[in-house]
Amino acid sequence: MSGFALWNCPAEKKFVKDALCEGERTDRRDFNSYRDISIMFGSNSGQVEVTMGTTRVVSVVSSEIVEPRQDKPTDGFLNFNVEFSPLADQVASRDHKQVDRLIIARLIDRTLRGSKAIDTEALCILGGKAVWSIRVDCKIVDNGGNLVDCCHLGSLAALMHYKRPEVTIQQGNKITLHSVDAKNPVPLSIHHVPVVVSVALLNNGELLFVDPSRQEEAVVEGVVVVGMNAHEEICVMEKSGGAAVAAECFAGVLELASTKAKELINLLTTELERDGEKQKEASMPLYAKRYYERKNQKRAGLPGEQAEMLQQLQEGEGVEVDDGD
Amino acid sequence: MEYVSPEGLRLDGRRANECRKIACRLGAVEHADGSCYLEQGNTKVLATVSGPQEVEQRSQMSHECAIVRCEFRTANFATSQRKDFGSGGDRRHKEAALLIQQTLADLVLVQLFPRSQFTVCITVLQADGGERAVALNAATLALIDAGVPLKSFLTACSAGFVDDTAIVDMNYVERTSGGAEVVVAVHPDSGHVAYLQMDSKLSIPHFQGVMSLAVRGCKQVNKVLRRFVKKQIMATRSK
Repeated sequence: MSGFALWNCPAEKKFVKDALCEGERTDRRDFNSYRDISIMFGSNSGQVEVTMGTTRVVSVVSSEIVEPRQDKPTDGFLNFNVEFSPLADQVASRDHKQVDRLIIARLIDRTLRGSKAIDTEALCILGGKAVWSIRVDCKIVDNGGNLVDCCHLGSLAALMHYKRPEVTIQQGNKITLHSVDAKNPVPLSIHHVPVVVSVALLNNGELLFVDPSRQEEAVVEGVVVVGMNAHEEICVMEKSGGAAVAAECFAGVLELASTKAKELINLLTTELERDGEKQKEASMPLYAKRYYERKNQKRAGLPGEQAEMLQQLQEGEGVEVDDGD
Repeated sequence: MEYVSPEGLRLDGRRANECRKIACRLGAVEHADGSCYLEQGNTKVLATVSGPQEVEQRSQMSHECAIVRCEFRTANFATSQRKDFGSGGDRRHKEAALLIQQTLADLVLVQLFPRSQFTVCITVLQADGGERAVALNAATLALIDAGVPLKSFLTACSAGFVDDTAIVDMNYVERTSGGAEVVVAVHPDSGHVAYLQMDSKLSIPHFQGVMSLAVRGCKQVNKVLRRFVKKQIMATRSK
C-alpha cells in the first residue's frame, strides 16, 4: 500500500494540524517560505516546467491567427486551460479535479488578462480581419499541493518566454506570416508582472503560512489567493469557502503576500535572463564561439593549453620559468 | 466621463457610501422549498432552494454532512443587448456558481443533514452591476425562506474604486469604467469575511479603504433585509 493516501486519514490530519498550531510545519519549513522552486525552460519558446517541491506543472503557449469577435474587432484572444495528467492525482475525484481546473484557469485568466498584464489590443494584426489568439495550456503532472501558485507561475513564465512569429502587412490588407527562420520571432507585450501567492489560514486567521503542501491543504480553514505585481498593486484576490475570518487579518495576508510576490518575481526574471543568455550562446555558430574563445585567451596572455602547462611547471619544484623579459 | 462629481454625487445621485434601493419578496416561487426575489437598484435576481433532498449523484454523497449544489445563470434578456448565455455553461457562470456554492456550504449547518443535498438555483433576471453580491443575498434569503438552519444572516455587497474614490454598490456603468471591483460577504454580527473576490488592479492602501467600505455596505444591506424578513414572517403568521 503506497503512502500517497496517508495524508487523508484523520490521525495524520490531526498531527499536521497540531504541529501547525504549535508553529511547526511537517517539512521543517518556515511559515514564510516556499518549497524549492525550479523553473526550467524548454528548447522552444513558450515552454516551461515549474516545480514547487513535489508539485510539477508544464505550461505551453501556442498561437494562431483568427478572426476577431464582431463586438471587439481590435482585441486578440488569450485563453487559459488547465488539465490534470492522469497520474497527477490518484486520490481526488473527477468532480473535484473539474472544479480545481475551472477555478485555477479562471484565476489565471483574471490575473493576466483581467488586470491587463498581457495587452490583448497589442495582439491585433488587422482590425476586424485578423488577430492573434494565444492559448496557454497548463498540464499538472504531479499534485503536491498549491496548484494555483504553480500553474500561474508556469503560465506567466511561458508567456514571458514566448515569442510569436513576425507578421508584416503589405498594401494595406495583405498579411504575410514569416516563419521563425525567415524573421526573428517577437515577444508578447507585457505591461506588468503579476504573481500569485496563496496564503493559508488557520485558527480563525491567526496563523498565516504560504505554499501549503497537499497535507496542509487538507487541514487549513481557508486559503486566500492574492495576485500582486512588483509595484505592490493587488491584481486579484480571492477567498471563498472555508471558515470566515476577521477583516483585520487581511492586512497580515497582504503583507506576507507582497514580500513573497517580490521574491517570486525576482526568481522569474533571473531564470528568464539566464535562459536568454543560454539561447544566445546556443544560437551562435561554432566558428564565432572559437573566435571569442581565442580572443579571450589572448587577453589572458597565452593559448589555453600552454597556460595550463606553464602553471604545472611553476607549481613543480626547482623550476624557473624564462618569460623572455 | 465623470463618475463621481466634485460634490460627491454619483451618476444616479447616490453618495459614495450609499447602497441602492432594495426590494425583496420571500416565497416568490410557490413550488420550491424556499425562494426569494431580490432587487438591488436595477439588478434583479431570483433564487430558489430545494432541500434537504436525496443526493442526485451517489458518488458525491457524504455520510457526515449535506452537500450544497448551486446553479447560476443569467437570462437572455438580462443585459441591454440580448445575449445567449446558455444554461449557465460558460466558464464565468460556472466559476460564480462554484464560489457561491463553496460559501453556502460553509454557511448552512450541513452537519445536521447527513447524506442529503441542497440545490440552490440562481437566475439573474436583470443585470445592472453587483450580480454576484445580489445573487448571494438572494440565496441566503431563499435558504431562510426554506427554513434551513444557517450560521448567521450572511450578507454580501460590492464596492469599487473609480475617479480616486471608493464607492459602494456599483451599477453597470460604474463597474465597466475599468476600476477595480471588490465583492465581500460577511457575517454581520461578528464582521467575519466569508467570501472575498477582487478583480483588476488596486494598490494596498486603496484596497483597504474599499474593503472597509464594502463591509460597512454589507451591514447596511443586512439591516434592510432583516426588516423585510421580519415583516414577511409577521405577515404569514397573522394569516
